[in-house]
Amino acid sequence: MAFIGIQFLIWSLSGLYMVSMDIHFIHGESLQAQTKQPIALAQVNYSFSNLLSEYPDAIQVELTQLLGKPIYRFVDKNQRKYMLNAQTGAPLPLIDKDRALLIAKHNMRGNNSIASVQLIDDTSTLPSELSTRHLPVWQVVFEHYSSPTFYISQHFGNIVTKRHFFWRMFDWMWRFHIMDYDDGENVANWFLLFIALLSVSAALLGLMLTYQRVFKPSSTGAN
Amino acid sequence: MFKLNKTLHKWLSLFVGLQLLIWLITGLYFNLMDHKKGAGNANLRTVVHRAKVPHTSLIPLQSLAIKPAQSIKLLWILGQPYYQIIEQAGAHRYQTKVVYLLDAQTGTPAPLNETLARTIALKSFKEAVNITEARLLEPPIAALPKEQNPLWQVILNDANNTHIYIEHSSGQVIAHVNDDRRLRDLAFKLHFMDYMNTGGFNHWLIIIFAITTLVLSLTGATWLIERFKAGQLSLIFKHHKKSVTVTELTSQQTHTLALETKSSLFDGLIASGIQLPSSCGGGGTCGLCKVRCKSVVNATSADKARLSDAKLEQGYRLACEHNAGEVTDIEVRAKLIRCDD
Repeated sequence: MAFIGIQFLIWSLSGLYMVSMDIHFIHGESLQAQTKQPIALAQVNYSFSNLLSEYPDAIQVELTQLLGKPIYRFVDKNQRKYMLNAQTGAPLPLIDKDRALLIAKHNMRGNNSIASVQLIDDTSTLPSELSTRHLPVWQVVFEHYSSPTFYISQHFGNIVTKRHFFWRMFDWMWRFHIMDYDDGENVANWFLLFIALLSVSAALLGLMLTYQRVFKPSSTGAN
Repeated sequence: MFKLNKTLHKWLSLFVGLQLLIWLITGLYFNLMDHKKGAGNANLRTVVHRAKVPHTSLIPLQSLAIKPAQSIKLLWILGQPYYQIIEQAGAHRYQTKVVYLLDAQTGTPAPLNETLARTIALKSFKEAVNITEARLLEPPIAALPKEQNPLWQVILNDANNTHIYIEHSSGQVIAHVNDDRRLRDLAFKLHFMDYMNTGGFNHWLIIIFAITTLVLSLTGATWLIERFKAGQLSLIFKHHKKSVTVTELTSQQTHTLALETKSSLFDGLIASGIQLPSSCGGGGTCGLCKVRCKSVVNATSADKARLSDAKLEQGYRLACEHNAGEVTDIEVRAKLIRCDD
């Protein structure tokens, strides 16, 4: 029973971290600049109708912008990603390092300089914080004690996800909280079940003691 | 200092006790629940919206009076193409946004109507079912507290009381809220102490409780360490016994008992059939389990807190604070005896 105490300590510490840190801050929403200019519709000479005639299988078609220029993004039925220049309809090349850095700077709220940039295009170099469906991506890390990181899709040029120290910490807290120490994804693990069952009995016994001490104080006790 | 620790532990346990039990029980539920059912997705299936439409029939955007937009999507809803104009949207779907639909063939505003909502609802449900009612709800929406945009609510008359929520600005199925999902949402509400229905866990009530619980755990841990140091908790139980002469004053009987040297006198006496009065169960806080030692035994802080100087002088100590190894001859007044040497 005494060992349950360690898990109570872990639960209260990790729980406190998770409830006291604003979840939107944790998700790095404050890192990204929110000022978005409207699309310059006058420049869109290549219409949705042109796009469908050239790519009849296109789905999830979106007219949006990249670094101020109107673009189309869509996928085909095999989930292959396409990005077109919305002025001409020309397919845009994969995002290279310079463009990735430009996009990163353009989207970063602060004025931090770049600490590192690297292309992640296969699962062997995949960090655990990134899902394979986002590959290939540019990982851009900014200079800051919390290591803000943007992951930029090489096909779409958008920020697919962000990370910083506080989010990574949150993920660890979550792992400790659900006692899944391998990948932190499985709440239904037997270890948690076992400890939780023991803990319920420990808490019930503790509550009985509290009841005894607080509501049934004995006058014959002290001295 | 150590006394304060114990007092704090007692009162904190009173303050957070019930919520602690709620956390543990709901946590156990999350561990055991069926996650797909709990999400309300047992009967959910994908609705196919895409269809072949002659591309020439799409009306060019330039011919429409569109207000400045962040992005424009080409959507299909039940086979018909729509332009979804996104004037303003947050990082999450549920956040307030300014989004509307235009018929992509005529260019006229085409808000998702009841017929479409009903059809999408039925198509998203695996079994054949009837609709009781459909209505357009404005936020706040009780079943989906985070939602800040209008949704269609389609009520089915199935056994599981399913309500299907469909986004007004896209035709997307947001959730099947049925009795399984309601149970899960209740468990989340209890676990997150979201008694104000914010839909999240970043609020002051839970932060205060989390801090209190952390202090409760810390005082508990300190107490355990203290007991460990006093030799009352050992990691490996080596069985060393020692014989102690115990005189029970009520019955005027004297027994010679073999007691565990590493467990407390209080526990050792219980194991031998002599139960001393106690309301804290051997925690050193109630002061009821006093015994009189005939040899010199150092008084602990709990002894000093609970027993008068006169009693200490006479050799009285708390049985839960000392090990059998420290004594050889003691006098006790038991609450219950089942002792036959």
